[in-house]
Amino acid sequence: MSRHLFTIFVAVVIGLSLLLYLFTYQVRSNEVAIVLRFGKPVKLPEAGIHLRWPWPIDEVRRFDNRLHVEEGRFEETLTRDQYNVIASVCIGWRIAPEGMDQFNKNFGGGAEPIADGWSKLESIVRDRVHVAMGRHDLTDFVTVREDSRSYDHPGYDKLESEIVETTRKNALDTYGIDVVLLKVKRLELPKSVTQKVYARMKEDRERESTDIREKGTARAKVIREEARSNKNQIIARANAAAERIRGAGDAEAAQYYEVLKANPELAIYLRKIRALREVTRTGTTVIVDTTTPPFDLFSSGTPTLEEEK
Amino acid sequence: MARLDRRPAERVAVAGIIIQLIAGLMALVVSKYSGVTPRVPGEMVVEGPPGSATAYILMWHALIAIIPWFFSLMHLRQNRSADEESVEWERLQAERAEGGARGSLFETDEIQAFAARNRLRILERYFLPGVAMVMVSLFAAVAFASVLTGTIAERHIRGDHVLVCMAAMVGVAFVQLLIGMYAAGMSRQEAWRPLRAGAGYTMLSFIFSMATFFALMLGLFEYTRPDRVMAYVMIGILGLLAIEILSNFILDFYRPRVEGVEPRPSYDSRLLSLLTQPGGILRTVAATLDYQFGFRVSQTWFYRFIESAIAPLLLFQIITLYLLTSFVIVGPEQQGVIETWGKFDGRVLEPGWHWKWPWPVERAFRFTANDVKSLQLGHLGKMTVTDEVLWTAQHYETEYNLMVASKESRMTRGDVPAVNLIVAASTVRYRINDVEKWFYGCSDPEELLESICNREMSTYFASVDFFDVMGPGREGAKEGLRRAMQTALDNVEGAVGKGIGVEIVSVGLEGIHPPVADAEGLAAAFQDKVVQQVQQEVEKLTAEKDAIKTVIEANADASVALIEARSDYSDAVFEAQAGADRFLVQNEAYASAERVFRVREYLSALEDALTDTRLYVLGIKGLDREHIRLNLEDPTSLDLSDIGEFRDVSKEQNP
Repeated sequence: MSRHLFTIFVAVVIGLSLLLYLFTYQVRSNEVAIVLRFGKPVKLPEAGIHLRWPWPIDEVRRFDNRLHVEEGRFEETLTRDQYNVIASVCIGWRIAPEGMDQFNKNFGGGAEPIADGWSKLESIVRDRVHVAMGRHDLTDFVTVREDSRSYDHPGYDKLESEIVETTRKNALDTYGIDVVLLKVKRLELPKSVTQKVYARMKEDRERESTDIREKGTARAKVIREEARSNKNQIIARANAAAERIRGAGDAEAAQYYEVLKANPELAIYLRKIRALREVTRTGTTVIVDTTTPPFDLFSSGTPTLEEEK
Repeated sequence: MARLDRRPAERVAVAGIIIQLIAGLMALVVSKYSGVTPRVPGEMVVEGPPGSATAYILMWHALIAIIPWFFSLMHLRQNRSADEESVEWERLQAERAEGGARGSLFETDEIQAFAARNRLRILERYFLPGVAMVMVSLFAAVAFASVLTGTIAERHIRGDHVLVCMAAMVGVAFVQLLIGMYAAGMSRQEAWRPLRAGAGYTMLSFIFSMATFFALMLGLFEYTRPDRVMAYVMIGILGLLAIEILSNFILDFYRPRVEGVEPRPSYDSRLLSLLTQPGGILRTVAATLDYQFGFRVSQTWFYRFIESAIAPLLLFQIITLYLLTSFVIVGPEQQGVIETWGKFDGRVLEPGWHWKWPWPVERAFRFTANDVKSLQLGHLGKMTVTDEVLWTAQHYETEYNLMVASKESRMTRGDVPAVNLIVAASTVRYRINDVEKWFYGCSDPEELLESICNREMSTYFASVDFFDVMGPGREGAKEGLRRAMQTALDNVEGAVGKGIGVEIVSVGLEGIHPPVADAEGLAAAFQDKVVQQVQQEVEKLTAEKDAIKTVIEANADASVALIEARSDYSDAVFEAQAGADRFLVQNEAYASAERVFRVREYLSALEDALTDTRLYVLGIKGLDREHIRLNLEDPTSLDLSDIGEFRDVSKEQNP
């Protein structure tokens, strides 16, 4: 009998557990649930444990009611000033409390309602991103801010709020989805444009390098020219001073030439003699005849002293 | 003793083969047609093979189950032949005994007389174990192939034929149940024992068919996951069967052979006999042990003690395991939350151990929350440089470009926008400061954190000057970025109020440099600017050095010129003074002997002048020196013949 009691006890425990499982359900704090009675929504329970009729009378559908974060496609689009950019946005969305019924109708029957919801939302957001980007210039997003202390970016903020405003109503009314936030996560240029930007950046740097190099060369040239000019001036001044000194020497020497006035003929004669010595010093060939003294001695023999007298 | 006729068992075995074949083919059809058309016309069909995964596994099991039925049939037929042979032998012996001296002309060898028995022995000793190995291989192959190829994971139940498939499965299951139970009942007779193996596989096939039926039913209501889960369970059971058959095969080598104990084929599963021979698991286990060890293990005191205590022990263990769910241990780097009937009641668990109500009343969730985590922005993958981190080499496997503004925004040229590009690797360090917001506010808080931080980085670089951020502005930007990221995160409307429960500890800006990938020469152009600046300074210094040298040389030349001038001055004055003094003396001498003085001076000068010169004295009278022609090309080597022609002009004048 005790053996049967034990078996009965175990059976009762298992039975009660099954009943508990069939007639109750839990909703977690990170979930939102909807109870369908024969397919008709009857209740939106809060988090906790609740009673229900077993399936197929009551069906409980649970959805994750936290903020879902998805990244849109990294997609190319056109700005107002005709520049191609590639942008991806990050979207935060949740199931709107007032849109629960709508969300359930659209996605409740699927295996992955959150993924299905995102799939529909993404197509709306993609369209809005293209439209909103087309209303802005590239310089709205890339420009030096005036106040260096502020980290706000009005261009991005405006674009994001535009997309959210145009998306939110449609998503809420159609799918029961509340778009809570949207951020432009990445903004880049297509590869073809990127290459041109690289080329321009390289050209800018090379231009600056050339400017620096040429300025340096010019500056060095100026320094050298100034030095050369200084040199010429110094030498010219020195030469002038040297001439003045020589002139003073000549002037002082001239006063000694007054002595020559006593016999100018002799002075000239002595000067000729001196010149004769200087010009015939080396490398000279002299041709004389026998009338030139002392070679006149060759012509008629040695004259006697009487002839000379 | 009258032996039972084995022919009814043989007929049942044939029926078993047929029903398994039908079941296998039916399962093949169901696995294909339980997922043919889309759920909604126009909706994209889910990729992957359609159809029920459980039906797929059932198909393989049903077809493999033909093998034990077939060999059960062979076993029964060979037993029948052996029985007939024994009967014939007994009759022959009896006739010989009655005939006395009369006997057969030919004495029959016992081996030849019992040929069927020998064949039976060969069948039991060699063929049946081989069959067991074949079945092990087939079960293992089905299990591995189904899992490794991902066939089960890709299958979906959908389409309009699910109801028909359900009906087919019920029909097949019903027939299998009938055959299986009938064969199981028959197998209680010793003569019909070979039916037991086939009966077990057919009963398992019945269970698989019912599982397929339930999976199809759930699939009808869009619950496709149970089908795949049950398929994996069925694969597990097949794997278990394969292990059991292999174990039986190995253990059969060590089993002592006892006279009168019928050998059991290895493929005759004891697990499956639980389905065919109700009477308790323990009784089956006892019989198995008795069979394996060759003596009645089940009658020993130890086995009886275990048999009586096993249930309470198991129950105690289950209760203990259940009560262990009341303990929660939170590690030093973790925090935890408690949900009561699914609802978070605000209790956050710090490191240590805690009590709670057992599952499902309260559940605990733990995650790492006390450490400082880091998030890498602007790049993916590992660092690719190890020694020198230069601008000319990529720092990480993938680096993203950021658009940067410029104070010197030049006008665009054609389709080139007035932006610069930069690579900025950044590390954001953060920690969780509110567990409730982190866990319940956002489904993927790390993804949200990364997106918002990337956005702040992008907007910062898009609004700052290119050269500022690469130089002096970098240090101040870190704190600004940290504040901007924190503000953005605190303003996020999560499911539990504003913020996601994260505190940004610090932001580091490492690795800011011009793009390297696909930007050949760009980084070198940046470096060249610095080179040119240095070169400019070098040129200036060199020019200054040359200028100093020039001025110094000029001053030296000037000094030399002045010195020479002073020397010339002295020379001129002293020479003039000396000349004047000499002239006075010479004048006195001239005055005293004019002619002598003149000749002496002249001849003295001639002596000096003609010492090293070439002298030609021409002894020609009347030579008019006006007509002497001299070749003065090389005056030092002037020769007499260079003088030229001489003419006596006196004859010309006086003919």
